[in-house]
Amino acid sequence: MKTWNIALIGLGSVGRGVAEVLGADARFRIVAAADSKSGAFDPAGLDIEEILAKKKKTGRCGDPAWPASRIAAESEYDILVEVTPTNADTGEPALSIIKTALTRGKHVVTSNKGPVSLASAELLELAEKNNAAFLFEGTVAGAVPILRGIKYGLAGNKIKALYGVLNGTCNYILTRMEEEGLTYVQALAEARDLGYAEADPTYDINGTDAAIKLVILANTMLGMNVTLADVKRTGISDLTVDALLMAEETGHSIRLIASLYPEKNLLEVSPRLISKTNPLVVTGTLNAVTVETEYAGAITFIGRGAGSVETASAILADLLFITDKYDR
Amino acid sequence: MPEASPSADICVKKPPAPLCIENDMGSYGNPYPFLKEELLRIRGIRLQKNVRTSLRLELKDKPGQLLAAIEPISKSGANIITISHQRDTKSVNGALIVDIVISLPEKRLVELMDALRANGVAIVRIGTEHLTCTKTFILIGHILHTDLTDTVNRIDKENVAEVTELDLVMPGMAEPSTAKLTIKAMSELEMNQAVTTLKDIAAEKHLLIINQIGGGL
Repeated sequence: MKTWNIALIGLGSVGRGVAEVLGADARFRIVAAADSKSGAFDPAGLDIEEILAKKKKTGRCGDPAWPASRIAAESEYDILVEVTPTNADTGEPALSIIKTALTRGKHVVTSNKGPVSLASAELLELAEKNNAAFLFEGTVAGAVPILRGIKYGLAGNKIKALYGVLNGTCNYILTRMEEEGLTYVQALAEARDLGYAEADPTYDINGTDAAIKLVILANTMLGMNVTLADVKRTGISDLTVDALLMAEETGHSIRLIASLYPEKNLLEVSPRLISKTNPLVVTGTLNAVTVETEYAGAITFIGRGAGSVETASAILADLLFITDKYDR
Repeated sequence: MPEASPSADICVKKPPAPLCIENDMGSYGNPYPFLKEELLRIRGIRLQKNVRTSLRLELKDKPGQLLAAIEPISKSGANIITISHQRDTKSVNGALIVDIVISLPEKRLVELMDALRANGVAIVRIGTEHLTCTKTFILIGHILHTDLTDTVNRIDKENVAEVTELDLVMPGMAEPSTAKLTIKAMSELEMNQAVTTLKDIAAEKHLLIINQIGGGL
């Protein structure tokens, strides 16, 4: 059995999840790793636990002379796994690192929304030109196999509409406001305490995060050519508890819904009234997406949209897709 | 007796004891003295507008009865939209049933009903069932202070669309209020027009509008 050499770029929450999952899988060997300041490389395989311990102690995982860009450009590996935080404006530094790897003919798997939402067409073309795979299942709805579900599971179906809950933080806040009568501010504070919201949750609560995922779905699965600016966005910060109570009186919930209608070229993220009997009304940090198709009717995907090991699950699926289709 | 008024059921709810609002009307006073005036203004405007109303009438099965029904309607100035009269549909007590849809200002409806009864015509049902398309919205913002009358008035379109329910919760004078608004319209087409109007109003008055998903846009 061939062992595939992995370069792991990013050692945050998702990177640690990937290390955990791959550590338990003999098909893969992590030969290179990098954080934002340094990198480490060993063709025989790195001791990830040791590297993580070093990072915890010194703030660096390796040698500052081997930053991620150099790891990507000079070290030997089969697949680059890129899991650094999203930069929605430039996609950097991840975008350059991914281009470097693809240009070298290396496969790339990422969970980073920035490069995919900004440059998916360019990156996919670059991958094809160099006979490499560029996969990004983890960028949309975490562990939920929505991209592969649409591309392969629903192959041949025209997608008429796609809509759903793509941001777990907002869904958690709305669930708590509805169930416990918390105000928006109280629910947000709780989400922060539990680690469901970032220190600066702006991108989540103003709908940007969900909008970026919508752009990825539109461009990579529906053949559209849109940018973040094309998505009409309304966040949840102005929602009142009264609004949720009133919704409840008529058997509805309020959820932040990302919606996409390809024929009308309409992309929107906004709080919507939705019947409680609709499968999209999920609780907590779950994600849920309904895809309306030509032949299959409506299909709804529900599952964990974020989390360390959950995102690693999507990355593992991408890696196994590569090992199945390529022999190098 | 059936509800004679097809107009909106507009109610104002106050949440359970928010902050104690002191004013010169005492603790039982209305902290929103202009709210009642606002609702009366909406009501006043609506009374002048034509409303499409369906009436189910029961006539005695003898000559001249259809005229007894038509004559008061004609005199009231109402526009008759449809009349459906089938001799073989009879009520349990043997009376003939006539379904009429008319259009006239709401304030004249009561006079017309009196005139019909005076002619021996029984009104067994009255309503606005022609508005079959219903959608509910939630609005958040300074709903009352941005001219609620204007908001409702712009959505109300004679005979084709109207605001049929409005629940308003106001937690405090300076805080944004929340309203649940139900619009009824004749068909999807008129509903879409009403929704477009509502979206324009929301943008203009800085109101957050939450509309339904699962049933149009």
